[in-house]
Amino acid sequence: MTVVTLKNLFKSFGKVVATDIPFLKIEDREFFGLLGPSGSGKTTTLRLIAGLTKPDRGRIYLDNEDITDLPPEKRNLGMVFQSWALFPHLTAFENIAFGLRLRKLPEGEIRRRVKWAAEILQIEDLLNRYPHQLSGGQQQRVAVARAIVIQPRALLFDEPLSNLDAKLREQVRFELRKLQKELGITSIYVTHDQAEAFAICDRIAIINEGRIQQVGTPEDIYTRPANRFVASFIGITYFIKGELIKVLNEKEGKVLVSTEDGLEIIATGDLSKLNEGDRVHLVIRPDYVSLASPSDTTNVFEAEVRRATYTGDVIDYEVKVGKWNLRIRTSPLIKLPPGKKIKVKLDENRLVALP
Amino acid sequence: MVFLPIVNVVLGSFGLSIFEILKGSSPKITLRGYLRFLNPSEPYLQSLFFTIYISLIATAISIVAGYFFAVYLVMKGWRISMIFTIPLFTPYVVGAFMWWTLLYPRGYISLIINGILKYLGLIRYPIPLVNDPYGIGILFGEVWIRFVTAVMMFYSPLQLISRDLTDAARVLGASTWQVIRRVYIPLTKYSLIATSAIILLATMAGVSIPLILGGSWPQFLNVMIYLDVTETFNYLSAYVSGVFYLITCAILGYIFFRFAMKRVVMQTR
Amino acid sequence: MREGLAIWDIIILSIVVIYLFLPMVVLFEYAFAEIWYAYRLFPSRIGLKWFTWVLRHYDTRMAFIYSYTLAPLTMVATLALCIPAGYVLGTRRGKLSLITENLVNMNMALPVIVIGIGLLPFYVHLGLLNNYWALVPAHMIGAIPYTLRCVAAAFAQVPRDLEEIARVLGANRLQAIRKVYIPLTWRGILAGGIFAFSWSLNEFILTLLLGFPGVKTLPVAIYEYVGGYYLTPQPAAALSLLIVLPSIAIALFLEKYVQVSLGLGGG
Repeated sequence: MTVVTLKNLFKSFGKVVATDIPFLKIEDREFFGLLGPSGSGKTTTLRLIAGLTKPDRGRIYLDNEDITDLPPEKRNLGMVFQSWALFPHLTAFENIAFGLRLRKLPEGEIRRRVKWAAEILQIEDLLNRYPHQLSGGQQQRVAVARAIVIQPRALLFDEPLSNLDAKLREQVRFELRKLQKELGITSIYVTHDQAEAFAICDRIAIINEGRIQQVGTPEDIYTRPANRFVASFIGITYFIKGELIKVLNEKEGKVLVSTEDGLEIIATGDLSKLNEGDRVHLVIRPDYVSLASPSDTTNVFEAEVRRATYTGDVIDYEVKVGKWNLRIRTSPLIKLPPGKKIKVKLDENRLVALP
Repeated sequence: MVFLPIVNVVLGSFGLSIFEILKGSSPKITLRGYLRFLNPSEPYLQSLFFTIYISLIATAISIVAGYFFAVYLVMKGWRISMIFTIPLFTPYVVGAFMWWTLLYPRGYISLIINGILKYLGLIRYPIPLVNDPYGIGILFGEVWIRFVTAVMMFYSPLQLISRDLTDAARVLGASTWQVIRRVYIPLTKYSLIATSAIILLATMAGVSIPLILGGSWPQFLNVMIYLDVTETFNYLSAYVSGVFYLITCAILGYIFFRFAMKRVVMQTR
Repeated sequence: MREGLAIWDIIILSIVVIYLFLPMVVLFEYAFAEIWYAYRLFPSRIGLKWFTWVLRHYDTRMAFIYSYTLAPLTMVATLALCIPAGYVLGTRRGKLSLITENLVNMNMALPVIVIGIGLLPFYVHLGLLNNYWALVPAHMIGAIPYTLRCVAAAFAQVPRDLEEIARVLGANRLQAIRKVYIPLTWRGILAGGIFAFSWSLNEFILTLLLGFPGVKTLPVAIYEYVGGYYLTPQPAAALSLLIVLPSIAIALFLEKYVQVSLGLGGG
């Protein structure tokens, strides 16, 4: 059972705030993602948890134990670095065994455990090789094996796949998730790759400039972004600016938004943060826009086709609604010439109004 | 330019002289010099051992202290400022002379050390720290300079070791000492060997420091050579000693180059 | 682990700093001590008396002049030898350069005194003892390995293509050297030259042996006041400062304005 809790954690480098987290709790056995752009402080946060950096303020807990003042070598965590950090002077076997030797385990036990880890990572026949004799993918597996073989309380991943080529990355990410679920070790995964985080994490914290913008499941974050940063960081996003003129349905959070060019759009929003008369931004994604069918009555607007991009599996159209440029995707069978006037529907259940 | 003097020394050790050969007089080879050198009741062998012995100690102290200090600097992420290299700017003669003033019975270091020892009840009379038969003065002087050299030579290879490696070792459970033992030292093995050889060679070859800080007996071999040439005009013994010196330094130099070359090969891989 | 200074750090750093600087401090003490009674810990009066004494006294004044004229001579002569040699070594990687490099390195491993006693008979027979100009080659012996290394390294760092491009564009070898190599290597060459200068300034044993009795440089003069049985530290300290301070000044100047970093040595 390992629950990782951060309280009032703060770290700055000179004037730059790297980490400012009032509270974060990562549940036992969770595959938790820290997602954010470069320089957002996610690696610093991970290093704080590992003990490689000392916080200016705040406490870190593993279960109920306050480990803030413990040096990294006593925290019993496993860590996989972006560069993998394999010891070049040791074989794969010795790399994996490194942590075990420090713990002075008997030779037989060490051999057993290394074999176990190597089997899980499918690198049994590579154990006698040196890191420079291994491919990137193989080195990465050795790094993971080295981290899990000590049976750590939690696993920390610092963008472990960013040095692999794209195809390998996709394949390995699922293996990592499968591994984590089998072993049941609480894991914290830092990445800037949104697709990666969404594919493998149970819950994700979006971080920007050291501060957590939102914590939730991938679905939560995608469909109900908490603010404009999260909305634009995830997926393809457009904003339509307008004024919230009326609350239509309190229970469902439906609101009516009026844009300056006279469009009246129904959207969904968090009413605890919105009031009538507020200026709002509507989050629109291509999948929220579709060709209007005759049975659609609400949120139907006139649009003019501007440009078509054929990508093989879909056609990506740029259409103009009022003064806004939106994108819509259709099957390749539907061909719309530029200039044609069509009707599009904006899905009011998915459009999100943000302050 | 270097070759000729060496030839001269080697020939001279057998009692030969280039000039007399060139002039055509018949050479008289003699092994008198060698016999004298190897005679245990003569001072030369003792001097040779003393030279090697003191040089080894000075090297060992400098290497260990220098390595750990360099590791300390690297782990703290500090750079070496030029101020640090001031001992390298002083000519050996000046450095030796300064240590003499610090170590002679009324010198600061001598007062402090003897004061502490007396206070702890370990000695009754102050012990000589310079011009002494144990080479303590020489050690102070040599280590002063070699320590700085060692730190500077260890700093670059140590600093090249990626921080990720030491971070990874720490997270895996390594204490500071274990990081040094299992990461830094293995990855700077060749640098350690090469630097040790360089410092040992330099210590053995230097003459100013033992000349000024050494006692009347035992003395470094190169001081003996100097005295033989300038005071007793015993060129034969000086040449013989020179040959032995050359042999010793050649052996050490060979060790150095073997390992230094190996390192170069490894790095290109 | 990385930021801030704990009490341990202060202790370690203090010990190291004191250990390294104590001799310098004492050097200054003696040099500026006009009156220092033997039984006291510190000088009673400080001033420039010894500096003026040293410069007025013929022997030491000549030593000063000899030192600071031999050094530039050595530097120029060494560079004159090392620049072409360095060019060849640095730009070609043939077997010859490897052999030469090893030979030069071996030079570093030889005790200078042995070379000194080997040279002595030559100097005696050629009547070069006590000869100012004959000391220049003696100084060069020690300087060449280091300077050559420096200069060769500087040349080696220049990408080969540059010379080839210059030749294609019409430059002959001399012009190539002038317009391509010198601008890129002058720092390394300067470092090598400064090294030779410093080596010559600090050179002791060869000068002691070969310059005897008349030609003395500063280190030899210092030794005279210090070695042997008659010890007067004050003039020696003043003389020492006359070497040490300019060396430090040169090094600082180079580091600041020319960005040349040096790992100098002694003799």
